[in-house]
Amino acid sequence: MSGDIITLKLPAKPEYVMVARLTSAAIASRFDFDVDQIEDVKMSVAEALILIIKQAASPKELSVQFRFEHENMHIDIIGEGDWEQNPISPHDTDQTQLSRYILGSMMDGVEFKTDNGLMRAICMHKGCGGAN
Amino acid sequence: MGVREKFNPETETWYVSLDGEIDIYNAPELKEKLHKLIEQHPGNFVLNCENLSYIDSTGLGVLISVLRRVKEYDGKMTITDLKPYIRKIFVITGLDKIFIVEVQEA
Repeated sequence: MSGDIITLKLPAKPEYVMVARLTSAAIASRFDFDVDQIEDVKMSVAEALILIIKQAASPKELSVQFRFEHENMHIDIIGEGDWEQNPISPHDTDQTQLSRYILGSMMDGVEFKTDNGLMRAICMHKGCGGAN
Repeated sequence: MGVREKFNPETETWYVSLDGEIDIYNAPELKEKLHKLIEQHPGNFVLNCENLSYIDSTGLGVLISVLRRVKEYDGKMTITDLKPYIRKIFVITGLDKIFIVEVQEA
């Protein structure tokens, strides 16, 4: 499966977060992740989607891309379309901070990509070479 | 998501059980329901999570808002029977320090 790319496109609406979450669990289960690591991936995908959806005043579409390279699962979550800006407040809300704690703890690496104060993408990865 | 509630007037305590998954889609509904309970009978709040299988940051945000409201009325909020994985989320986010948390045995 190394090198394979799986892309999921969803309307940026709360009702579809569960679809991405369950799909991510199914994909993670194809790799050598243990049960807890699969839960971590599932939770992280949902939190990344929440972070992007929550700041979008006029949500369009989300792209979730999974790929597996060198025993690492890479997940890129990208906001697509011309959203109206609802930038992250300098004083992050409690919940945004919770999402960031969860992502930072459950994934091996997380990169937030912003454009004019608007979070456009979250790129993260997790290795399956042992419990994390 | 399912919510079952019962109020004990002697101890002025709400006993609420959460079932299933709490996510960004149904968290607003949960918030409205729990806040209505507190307005109906301000007091303590015991949240049984034995059958709670998933909660995301929006769900945690709801619990924080309930805790704030309970504290406004000088009540206590306890979360019981968390599954180990969900307790891990409470630990990661530091919420195990602000709630009284009891864990479900594996």
